[in-house]
Amino acid sequence: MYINPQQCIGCGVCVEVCPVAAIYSADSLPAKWRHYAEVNRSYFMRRTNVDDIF
Amino acid sequence: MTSFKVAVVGSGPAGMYAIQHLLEQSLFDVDIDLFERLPTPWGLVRAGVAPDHPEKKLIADRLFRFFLKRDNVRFFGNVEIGSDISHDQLTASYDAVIYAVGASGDKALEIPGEQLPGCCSARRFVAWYNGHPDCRHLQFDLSGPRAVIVGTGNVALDVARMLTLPVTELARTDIADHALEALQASRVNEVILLGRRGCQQAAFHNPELEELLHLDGVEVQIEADDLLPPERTDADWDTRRKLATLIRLQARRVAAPAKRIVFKFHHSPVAVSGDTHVTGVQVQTHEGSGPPGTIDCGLLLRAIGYRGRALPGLPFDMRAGVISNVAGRVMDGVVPRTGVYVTGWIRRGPRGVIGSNKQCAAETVACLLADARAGKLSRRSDDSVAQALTAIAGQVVSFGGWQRIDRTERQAGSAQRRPRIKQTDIGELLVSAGGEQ
Repeated sequence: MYINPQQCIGCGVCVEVCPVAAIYSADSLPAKWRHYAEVNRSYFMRRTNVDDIF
Repeated sequence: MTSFKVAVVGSGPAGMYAIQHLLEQSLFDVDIDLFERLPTPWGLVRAGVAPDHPEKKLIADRLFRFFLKRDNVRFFGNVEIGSDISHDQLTASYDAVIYAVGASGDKALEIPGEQLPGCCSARRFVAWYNGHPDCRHLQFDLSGPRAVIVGTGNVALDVARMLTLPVTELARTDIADHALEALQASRVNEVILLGRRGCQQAAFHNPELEELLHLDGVEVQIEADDLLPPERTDADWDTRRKLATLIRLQARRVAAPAKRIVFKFHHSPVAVSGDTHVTGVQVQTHEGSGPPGTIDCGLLLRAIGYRGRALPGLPFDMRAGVISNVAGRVMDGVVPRTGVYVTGWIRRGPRGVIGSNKQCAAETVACLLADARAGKLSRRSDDSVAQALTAIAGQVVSFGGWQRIDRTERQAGSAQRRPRIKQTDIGELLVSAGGEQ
């Protein structure tokens, strides 16, 4: 699942209700999943170069 | 409002999402009886998800559990449909039956030597480390330096992690005690994963692959002809993300690695070596040119896919390994078997993640509701199955019984700072379920 940054209003409701606690605000991502902010961004940009995800 | 009685067989994600959709519709009143072969619910959430992925198990606590607390839902654990209660008995006493029994078999390699001790399905290895009562007695030879896994899907990665994670990390999880003990004594320091196709076709998902970047003390090697920089391929976004990760894994330097994971892509097993026990596996490269080489190993796990098993009395599609169905309606040829439905892996095959079962169950339940509206369901339901089960009351685990098991396991775990210590013996589980009764 990806969250479209253009549509997301940052209200945080999804963080509360996600049954598997899979959603974090970008600045509180655990270290293990910190690169997901960039994964999410890259997904919507669909650019050729995914090298800078990490 | 018209009321229907529905039986759901299997309390894994498929069954639980089916119950959710039945509870969330407002066309009919429903009374749901949930049958589970084990004393414990949640299927592969408990017995499949790797112990080091606790976040994936939250779904049981934060969603599934609430469905079983509803007044119109009853849980019957340790009841096997097909032996304790027959399929005919079930269809006779419910207006509709939904089979959500998953895939309890696995695909074979179909190569010589596959039956040798030391060669096993990853499915059973997973069930063993997760404390599934059926697999608690299995023994795996972890005395050799190398294990080989056939397959590169998420299950293969789970198994590779279990074999290489530092024991101190495993000891913080809910891994079964017998597996923790065996892995503590393990001398396996290299795990080889064989991929028939190239790394761009590998079945693992991105999050599982990226996780390998965080494995402490484990070096990862990639042998692949098609490991290209992502910008030099026209592969899709997901594949390019995998390539970027594989390149990073390859370049990652681990100081004094204790263990190693090696991906060998374009390698297929052709025979298992050994007389009385596995001593190695013969592999052929993709080109198939030269003679097969042999990789020495004491443990060979096949992680090439689960496979559904036929249920007596229900039509089975041998090719796909699923109960014959269209959109979840069980079919005898072109004729729907009225009131009998399937959902989850036994409907569509062993693919997808936990959440994939939600959409699957939505379609199945939509068929059931459409049939109910069209007046096609039997309306002959009675309470005879539940009454029959009172005769073996001490053997049947209610939701309250499961809550007592759950509490016992968590309490035992908290003393060791673990999420829970799983009980793996049916007799022991029944004692815990009985509580103060």
